[in-house]
Amino acid sequence: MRFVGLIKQIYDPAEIKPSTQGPDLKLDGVPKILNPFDEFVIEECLQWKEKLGGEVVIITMGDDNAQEVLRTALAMGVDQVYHIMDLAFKGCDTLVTAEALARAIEKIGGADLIVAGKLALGGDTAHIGPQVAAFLDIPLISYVSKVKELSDSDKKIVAERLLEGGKEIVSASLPCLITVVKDINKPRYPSLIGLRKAAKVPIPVFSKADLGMGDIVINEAMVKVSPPPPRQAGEILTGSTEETISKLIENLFSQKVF
Amino acid sequence: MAKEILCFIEIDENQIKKSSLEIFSLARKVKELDGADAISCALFAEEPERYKDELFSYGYDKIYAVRSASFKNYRTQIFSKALVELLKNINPAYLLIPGTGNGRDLAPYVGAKLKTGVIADVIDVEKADGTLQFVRPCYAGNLLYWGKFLSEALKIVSVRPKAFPVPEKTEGRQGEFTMLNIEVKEEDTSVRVLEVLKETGKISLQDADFIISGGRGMGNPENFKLLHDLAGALGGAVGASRAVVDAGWISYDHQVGQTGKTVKPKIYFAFGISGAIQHLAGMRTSDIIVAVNKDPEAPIFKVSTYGIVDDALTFLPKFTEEIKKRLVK
Amino acid sequence: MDFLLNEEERMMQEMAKNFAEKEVKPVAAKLDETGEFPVELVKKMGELGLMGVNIPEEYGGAALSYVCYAIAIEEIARYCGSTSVIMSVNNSLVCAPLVKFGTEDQKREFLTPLASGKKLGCFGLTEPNAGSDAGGIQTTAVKDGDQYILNGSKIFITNATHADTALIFASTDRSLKHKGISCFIVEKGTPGFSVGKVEHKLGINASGTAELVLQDVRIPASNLLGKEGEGFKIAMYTLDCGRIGIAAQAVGIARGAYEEALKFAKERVQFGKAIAEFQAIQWMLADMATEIDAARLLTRRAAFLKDAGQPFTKESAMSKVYSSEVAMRVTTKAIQIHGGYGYSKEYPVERFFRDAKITEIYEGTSEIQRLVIASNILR
Repeated sequence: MRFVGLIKQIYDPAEIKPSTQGPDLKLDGVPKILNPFDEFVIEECLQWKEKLGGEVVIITMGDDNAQEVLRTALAMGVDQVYHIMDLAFKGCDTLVTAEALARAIEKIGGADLIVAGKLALGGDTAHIGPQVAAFLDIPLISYVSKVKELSDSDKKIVAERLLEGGKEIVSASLPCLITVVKDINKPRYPSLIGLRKAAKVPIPVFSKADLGMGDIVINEAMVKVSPPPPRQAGEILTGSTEETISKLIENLFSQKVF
Repeated sequence: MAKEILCFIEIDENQIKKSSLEIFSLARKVKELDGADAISCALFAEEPERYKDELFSYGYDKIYAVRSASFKNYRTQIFSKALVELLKNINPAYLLIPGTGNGRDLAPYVGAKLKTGVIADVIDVEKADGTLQFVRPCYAGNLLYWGKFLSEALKIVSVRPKAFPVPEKTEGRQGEFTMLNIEVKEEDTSVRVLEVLKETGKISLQDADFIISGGRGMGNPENFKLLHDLAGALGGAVGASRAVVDAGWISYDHQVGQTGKTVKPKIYFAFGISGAIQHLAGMRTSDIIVAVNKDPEAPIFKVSTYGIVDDALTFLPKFTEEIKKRLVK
Repeated sequence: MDFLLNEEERMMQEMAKNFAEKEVKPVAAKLDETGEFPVELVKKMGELGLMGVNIPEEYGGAALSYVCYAIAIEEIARYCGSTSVIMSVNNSLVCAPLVKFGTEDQKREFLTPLASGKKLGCFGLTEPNAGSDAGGIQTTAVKDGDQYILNGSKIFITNATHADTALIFASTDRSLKHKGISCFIVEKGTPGFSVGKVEHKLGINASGTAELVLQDVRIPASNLLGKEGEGFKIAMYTLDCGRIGIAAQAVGIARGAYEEALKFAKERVQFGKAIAEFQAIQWMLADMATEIDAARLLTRRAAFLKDAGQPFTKESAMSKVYSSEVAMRVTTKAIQIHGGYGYSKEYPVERFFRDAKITEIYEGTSEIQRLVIASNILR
C-alpha cells in the first residue's frame, strides 16, 4: 500500500508577537517549525505501513527551509519525500497549493491513503485536506481521531471522526483522504541514527512545470492583519446578586463566547 | 440576472442548526455593503418542506430545496455534487456556509470543484477601498486577518459559529420555495456513516472552552457540586485551586496553577479563589476571567475581566439558573 | 567560523528539545523528590540513540558530532540535572574511552550494548582517599594467570546503582604511582563486585550515586582496557571528553533557571508593576542571559575542536570551569528574582540551584580545571 502524508512547515505561532503585527504580516526572523498536527500525520502513515506493508511518501510545498520538515520525516523513518518548490507559488492561496499537491500525488502514481493534518497553524483555514480530495475526486474523512480498520484487499477504511457534540464512525473505500486531529497516535521521536542519515538524503524537487501547471491564478489575498482588540481592563460589577448576574450575562453574551 | 447571496442550511436531527441561522446575519451585512437582490438558501434534506416556514420567518427570501434520503447524514461528495449543480444553475454572487466541522469540509471542497476562492472562518465583514473585506482569526486567534476576493467569480465564505447573532424571527413571513430536480444517490460516494455517538465524555481542562474553578471560598467539598452543575450547563470542565486539592476536596488532575495545569479557556470562572500568584500562573492568559469572591481585596480581582464581590455560594446557583435560561433562547 | 547550527545540529536540537519537554519535564520534580533512578526514561533515551550520540554506528552509536552531543545534553539538562548526568556519564565517561582504547572484541562485547542503550555504564575512579589526587587510588589489581583480582572501593560513582558495566581504575603497580594505574571493565554480577552505600546528596538526586565495592573480584585479563599502566592516561583523556558534557549540563541547568526567572519576573507584580520593569531585575536578567551565551559558546568551541581532531584539553577545561560557575551565579540570581517563592519547592529554581553546585566539583573540581588551563598556557 502507498501512504502519502501531506505536511507543512509553518512559522511558530508562539513566536509571533501580536502587538508588533499589522498591517503587514512581519515574519522575518520568526523560527519555523513542523505544523503540530503533522507529526501525527507522519506517525499514522508509519504505523499503518508497519501493520500492512507498503511505503510511506511525504510531500510538502514550501520554500528552501521546508526541506527540514522533510528531513524530520525521513529521520522518523519514511521511505520517500518530495519537495514542491517554485517561486511562482509565492503568495498563492490554498486552492493553488492543493492543486499542486494533488498533481504531485498523481505524478508519483497515486496513493491508497492520503493523510493530512486537520489544519495548518497560521493560516488556520483547514482547506488543504478537502481541496486535495476534491482535485483527486476521492472521498474525504475529516477530523479523524482513530482509524479503526484499514484493508488493502477490501480497499476499505473505517474511521472515527471527532465532531462538535460527539463522534461518528464512517467507512469509505480507498483511495481516500483523511485529515487527522491531535493525539490520534503517539508520534515517535526520530532516532539519532535516522536523523544523521536523513541529513544527507538528496530530496527531489518538483517545480510548477514538473507538475504540469500553467499560470498561477490566485483567488483570494490578504489585505492586512492586526492584533485582536486589547483585552479589556477589568471591571467590578456592582449591585445585588440578581443585578450582577444580569450584568455579567449581558457582558459575556456580548462577547460572543456562547 | 438577480444578484443573490446563497446561504447553506445544515440540518441535524431534524432541526435547523443554529449556525445556519446565524449566517443570515452575515448575509444581511454583505447585502448592505455590496448590494444584492435576495438572500436565499440551499436546503438539502430528506424532507425539506418541514423547514420552510422557519427559514422564511428568519428572513430568507428564497429556498432552493433538494430532497433525498441520501442527505440523512452529511457526506462531502454527495452534498458537494448537489451544491455544485445548484450553483451552476442559480449563479449567486456569494455562498455562505456555516463553519461547523462539516461546513468547513464542504466550503473548500466546492471551492476546489469550481476553482473559485474560499475564505474560511469569517467573523466579520467590512467595506474599504470599494471592496468587501472579510475578517477572520489566524495564528490560533492571535491575529486578525482581512481577506478579499480577487475576481468576480463566486465568492465562498465559511462563517465561524457564534460570531453572528441569530436574526429576529418574523412569524408568518413567506418567501419563494423551489424544489429542484437535482439527483443524488448513494453511489455518488463510498462514504457510509455507520454510527453516530453523541457527546458523553469528560472534557479535559486543556481542551475546555469554559473552566469553572473553585477554591476554599466554596466552603466544603459538597458545594463543588455547584461547580459541576455550571460546567454541565456550559459544556465545560471543573478546575480547582491547590488549597482545595491539598485538603482532599477534589483530585489533583483538576488543579490549575504552578504545580497543576496551565489552561487558556475562553472563560475562566474563579469561585471563592483568592488568586495567589501560583494559581494565576496557571490561568492568567485565559480570554475572559470572571471572579467571584467575598473579599474585595482578593488579588484575583487584579486580573479578572469581570469581578464580583459576593459569596460564591449565593451567586453560583442563581447564575447557573439564569445562564441556562439564556442559553436555551 | 560559523556560529549558526547546521541542519543536522538544528534537527538534533529540535528532537532533543521535543523529547525533553514531553518526557523529561513532567517527571523531573518527582525524580528529585523521590531520588528514584529514571529507569524507563533512560531506556527510552537509549532506544533513540541518546546514550551513544557520538559513538560510531558500527558499535551501535548514532555517529553524530560532539557538538550535537553537547546540544542534546543541554536540552535534557534544561529540565533535569539528574537525567543529563546519567546520559553524560554513559556517553563520555564510558563509551568514549572504549572507542579510543578498546580492542575490537571489547568494543563489540561492551561498547555496542552501552552505545545502543541496552546497557548502562559507570566510571569508577574516585575513592575515599583519591578525589582530585586521582593518582593516589588504592584499589589494587593483581594478575593471576589469565585473570586479574581486584580489591578496593570507589565512592560517589554516578549510575552505580543501576549500571551494568563499570570502568574501574586500579593500581597494578603501586611503586609506579600514577603510571601504575590500569583500567578494567567490570560487569555487574561478577562475584565480589557490589553496590555499597547509596549517597543522599544536595542535588542530582536521581543519578544513582553510590559506592562500588570490590572484594576479590576476578575478571578475565581480556577485560583490561588498553595496557597496564595506561590507566591514568585513559582517565585523563576520558575526563577531557566528559568535561564538555558537564559544561553542557551546566549551561542547560543555568538556562532552565534563567527561563523560569524570566517568566516569573514578567508575572510577579510589586509596587504596581511587573518586577521585570525594574532596572535591578533587568540588569540581573541581562547578565544571566549574557553569561549563559558565553558559556554555551565556550562549550561549543571545545566540542568543535574535539570533532576536528584538534587538541582540546585547555578548551574543555575552560568550558567546564566557566559554565559551572555561571550555573551557580545564574541559579542563585534566579532564586533571588523569585524572592520567597524561589526558596519554596513549589517552584523549580531551588532544584536548579542545588543541581548546579556539583558541576563545580565532579569530573575535576574548578581548582583542578584552573591547574589544567594554567599548565597549558604556561607550557
